[in-house]
Amino acid sequence: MSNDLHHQIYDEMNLKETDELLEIWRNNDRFDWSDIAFDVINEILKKRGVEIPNQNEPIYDHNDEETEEDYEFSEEELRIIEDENPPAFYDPFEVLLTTKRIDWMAKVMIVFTFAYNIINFPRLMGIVQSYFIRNPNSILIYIFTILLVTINTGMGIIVIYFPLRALSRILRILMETEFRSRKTN
Amino acid sequence: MNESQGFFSQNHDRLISIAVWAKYLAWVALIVYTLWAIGTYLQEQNYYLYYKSGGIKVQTYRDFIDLLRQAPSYAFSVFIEIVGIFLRGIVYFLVLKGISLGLNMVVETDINYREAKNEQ
Repeated sequence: MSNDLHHQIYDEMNLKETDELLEIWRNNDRFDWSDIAFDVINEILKKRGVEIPNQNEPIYDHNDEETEEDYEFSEEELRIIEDENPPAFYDPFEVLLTTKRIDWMAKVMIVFTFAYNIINFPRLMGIVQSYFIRNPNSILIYIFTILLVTINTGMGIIVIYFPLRALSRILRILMETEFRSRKTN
Repeated sequence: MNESQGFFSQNHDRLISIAVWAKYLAWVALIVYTLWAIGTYLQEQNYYLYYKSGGIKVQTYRDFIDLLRQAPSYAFSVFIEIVGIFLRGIVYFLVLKGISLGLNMVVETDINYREAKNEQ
């Protein structure tokens, strides 16, 4: 039975390209592939004259759910998440995750605001040019356009970045306040 | 929070219901803006087909994807427009979710203080 299984796996694995086998070997995913499969891969690679590379740490479980270990939380934050008397109306982990996402989004919006204003540069230049009909090649057109784009970008960043950062801070402060209020009981 | 029911006033109830609404509206906003972003792409594609059927110079391109490939500045502007809509959806989603969580924390804090005061 064991021999049959070995043969069956061998035949299947032997159909795969060497690169694919090397990738499976390196990934060392013991959740997706059985131990016999790895023995077979080793055997096939040796037969094909390929140098066997080192394997990564074995993976025994595919845990796709987000946990606190996936994020770099501070000690204080972990203390709030792992408190034995958890809050009833909200999940501290969700709050911290949301604040991290808001912070990240605030940064993304800066990049986006820059890109958006660069794309709109010709349109803005057209608007400025319409005020210089008599002198369409004036250097002032470029100066005013660059000035307008800079102001527009700056305002865009101020209007989006700071409120998002403020919301993130407010949420953290509210969570810490709530945590302390629990400790007064 | 064990005795929270006793400290629960009408104001708490209102805040909690706003928080629940905000939580669900966050998802609605995300879905609507995602659909809007997809719709914008389809709209651009339809413009292309419209101009093509009118015999305008877009005829030189095989299809819409070909147009995007051969006119990178246009492709980039379409990309920025679509990403902008999608990002706006994510921002609204996060803000509404933050509001929901914030209101829940306010209620929880107030009830905790009331409990503590009652115990004294």
